[in-house]
Amino acid sequence: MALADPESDEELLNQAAAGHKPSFEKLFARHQGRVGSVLRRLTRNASDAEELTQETFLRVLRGSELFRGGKFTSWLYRIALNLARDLGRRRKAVTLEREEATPSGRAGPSEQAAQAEEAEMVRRALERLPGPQKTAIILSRYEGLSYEEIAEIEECSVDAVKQRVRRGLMALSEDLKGLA
Amino acid sequence: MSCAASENLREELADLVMGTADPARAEVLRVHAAGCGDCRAALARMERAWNALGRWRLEEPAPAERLASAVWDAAHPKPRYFRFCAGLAAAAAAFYVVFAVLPALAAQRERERRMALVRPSRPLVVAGALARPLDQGAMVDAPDDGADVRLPDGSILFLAGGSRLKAMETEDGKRFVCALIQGELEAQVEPGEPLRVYVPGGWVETIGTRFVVKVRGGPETAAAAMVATLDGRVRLSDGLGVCEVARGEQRTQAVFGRQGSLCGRVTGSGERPTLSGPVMAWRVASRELGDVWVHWGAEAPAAPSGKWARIAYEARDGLAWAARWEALDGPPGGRDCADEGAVWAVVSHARRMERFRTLSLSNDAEAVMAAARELAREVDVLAAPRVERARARMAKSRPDVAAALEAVFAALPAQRIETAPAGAWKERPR
Repeated sequence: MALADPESDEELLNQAAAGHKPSFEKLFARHQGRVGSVLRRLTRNASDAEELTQETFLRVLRGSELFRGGKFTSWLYRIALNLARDLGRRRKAVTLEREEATPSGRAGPSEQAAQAEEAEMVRRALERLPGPQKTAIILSRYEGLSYEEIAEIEECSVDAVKQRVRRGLMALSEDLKGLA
Repeated sequence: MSCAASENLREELADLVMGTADPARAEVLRVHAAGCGDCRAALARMERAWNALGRWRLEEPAPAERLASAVWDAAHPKPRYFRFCAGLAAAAAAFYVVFAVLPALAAQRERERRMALVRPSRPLVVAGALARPLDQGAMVDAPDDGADVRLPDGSILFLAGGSRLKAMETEDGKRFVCALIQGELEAQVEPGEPLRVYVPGGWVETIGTRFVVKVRGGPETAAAAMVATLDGRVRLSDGLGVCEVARGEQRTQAVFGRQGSLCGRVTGSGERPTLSGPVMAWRVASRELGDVWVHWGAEAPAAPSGKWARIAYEARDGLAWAARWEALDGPPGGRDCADEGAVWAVVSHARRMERFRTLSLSNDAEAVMAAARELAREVDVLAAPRVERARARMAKSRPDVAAALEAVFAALPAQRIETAPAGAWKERPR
């Protein structure tokens, strides 16, 4: 019988649920960046994303008994995406504060301005995509998740994810025609 | 085949851009795109878009340790501590209700019961369990726990501990008149004839209302009377004029003492009232620090008509302390100040010191005389270079005021301090 990896996500979750704070801190440090990144792209607001990141891990701690096996990260992303959707629904009519672009540190001032403008165009184009396509593109393009992983998170078929990413890219290519 | 209309081919091109196309199929697509203008353009657009997505970079996230601790703390509150605090608060509230609120309510009920039962023909003083009729001219000194004065019409006056009240003869045979010498009085007045309460420097009267009047300072010192209405309206007078205080308002009036003293008026609203009378002085601005405007007119010795002095003073413990003064032209009109000696002594003192020196504004004629004599002894100080420079500046900027002041200074040692004309104080208790 194979022993569970003491450093695996699932084992750290078990230990954290039993009250072991260092295990939780390790789990948090391991995934906070990626979860935060997805949330920042989805909400386009750093403070909202930070708040949702904390809420995501709070729900992980409080609902650890709801984790029924499978991949921890899929469960984690699912919680985060649901929270982001809830927030989006609540703030549908509200213009969210935009997160400023972060140009490359090596670029000169004029280049930085151009990069920031392009980044803003990309963000706007992504914003115009239907929600499932936007989420699929973000998870695929920025987080490097496979279609299978995205399908597990979104609880849909792999073909559905593939179709969402394709359609999303095609729409983006039309939207970003003017981009050099 | 028209590639522009082929949705499936475009989707395959998307796979090619994203690197998810089967390698063999990817090669076929590239060859096709090389020979098909529409597909080549579409492929280029999708590649640009895919690459453009990479230009959206994010800043570094917040440090994980801080957030992790915050989340952990949120998930693990300290219930025992909070329960303890909540229990403590509940116990304190229960203690307060049992030992403070309930006894107060019982006392209030008892007070109302006594009021309902007793309708004396003469005012009654109730102090503790004792009750005695209140004779005219009698003095009521409330013990530490206070005393009640119940009037025949059912009105009741609650005297705070240490207060002193003097019963006076009724005017017109109906109205009860009293003088609050010191302390605090709350009146619960039944509708009917007005109740009048004299305070140093004026009176307060009302019909069917509830009000508080508080005298700060003793009868022989400068005093301030504060009036607050809890319900209805009251009329109040400072001996010069009458004004009204509406429900919830608060006024302080009759600043300085009794007969023979400088009389002041205070308005809570900061508006300058229209006054007439022998003394025109009142305070504006805040409750504790304000300005007294003093007017002296043609009857003052050697002082031209229409000059004013503004004395900024600070009131502490019922006493007014002059802090600084300023002579200037005021509103036209007005009459003589009955207590010009007191004012001038202070003015002279402040000017002599050439700084904001505090000096008691006494209502005691002897004290004012003493101040005047002291001033007269220190004439050499007035001639000091600093004072001379100040006087020269004043003479240059305000020659009229400077001339008036010089005349006052010159007259001071010989000035006789007069008490107010008898008619000006006829409403005051004696």
